[in-house]
Amino acid sequence: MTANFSFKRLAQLIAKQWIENRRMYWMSALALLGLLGIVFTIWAVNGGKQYNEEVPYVIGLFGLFITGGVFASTAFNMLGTKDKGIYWISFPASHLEKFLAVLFFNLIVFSLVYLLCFSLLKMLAESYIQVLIDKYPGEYSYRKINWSRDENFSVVLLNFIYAFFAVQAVFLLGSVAFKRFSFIITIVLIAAFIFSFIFYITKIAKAFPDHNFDLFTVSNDIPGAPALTRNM
Amino acid sequence: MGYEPGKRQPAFLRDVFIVPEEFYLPDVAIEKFVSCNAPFYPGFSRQQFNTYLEEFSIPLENSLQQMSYGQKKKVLISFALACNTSILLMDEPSNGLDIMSKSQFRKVIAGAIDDNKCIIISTHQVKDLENLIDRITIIDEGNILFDQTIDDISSKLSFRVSFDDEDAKNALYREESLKGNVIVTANTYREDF
Repeated sequence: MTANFSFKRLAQLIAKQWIENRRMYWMSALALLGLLGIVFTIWAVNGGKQYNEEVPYVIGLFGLFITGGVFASTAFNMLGTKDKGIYWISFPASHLEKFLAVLFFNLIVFSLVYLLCFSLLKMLAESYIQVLIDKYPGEYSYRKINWSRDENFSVVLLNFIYAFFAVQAVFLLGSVAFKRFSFIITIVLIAAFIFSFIFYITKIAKAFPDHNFDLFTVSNDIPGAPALTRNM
Repeated sequence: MGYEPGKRQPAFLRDVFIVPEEFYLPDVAIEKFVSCNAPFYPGFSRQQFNTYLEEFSIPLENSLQQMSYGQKKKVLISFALACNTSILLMDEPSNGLDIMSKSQFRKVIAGAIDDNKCIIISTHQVKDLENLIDRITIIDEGNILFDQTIDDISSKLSFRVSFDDEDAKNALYREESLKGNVIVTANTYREDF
């Protein structure tokens, strides 16, 4: 505990943020549940007859990125207007404590609420599919993910979750940097960055025509170098 | 105070309170606002806060968002005074207050002033606060143009309303009004302010 950091003050700040914004948080959680509910309903009702467990995870990841981005881009909106900015900046807590309180709600609380909504809706959708399977045996099927066998999927899922935290960080930065339309501006900047990155990689790939080198695969064909391995 | 304000350290911020002209208050009941904000101000007095609210005739059970601008301002002023910070900055505190509330405001401020507090008020409506002020600083574009105590000013200058054209001609400053000429002259007779 230092002059600029105190666990007691951080806990008080988190409690204050909860009390002052709880109505908005509850509404956001309901909106999240509603939006995911719509997508899951469409999947469960119009998903064909061969259901695949990969689909809800893909829905979940897309939802996580979009809603997480929207939520993160509102994280520092207190700084966007003069009146709220003075209230926030002049409040007796350090920058670090204020930042950690924002992170607490944006990363920990949001992720837990999202996971809860996702798990609940996935469970409900699966229950509905199970009812269909029981009612029309042989006609409907549900392919569950075998996590030990579908190694690629678990790797991709894990990488997407890492990417989510990176994207959250960018949207948090965007919410500080841009007073208005931070979500849209941040998306435009991310898109510009990705396009620049692809352009740069393509240029590098052209500079090394003898190597199997493209955006999505890298093979090691350098003579004498050890083979690429992935530790799981 | 020994702090660099730009660093906004908690120890400094808990001893300074700002009542801005454009202010924000969250959408919660007064009780909730106090319970989550007061712990950050060690000098906060609940008893004082209730007394100020009573003087401003604000019911404690009201939600802040249901209140008018003037009522919210009175809650913020009450909270600011009850925090008992060493420095209290107020920007146009009488803006948005009706005549009755301005009178209540003067009364509350007069009762809250003590030797441990420095209340800095920025205002264009000097008339609302003239009896409370003991030092006047005029700032233009960040430059201090004038900085004197009321005692110093009144020992050197005389402010009065005059119907005499000769007085007006010889005044250091004059402004026509319905009641005659408001003039500023040298205080040659050692009159009170």
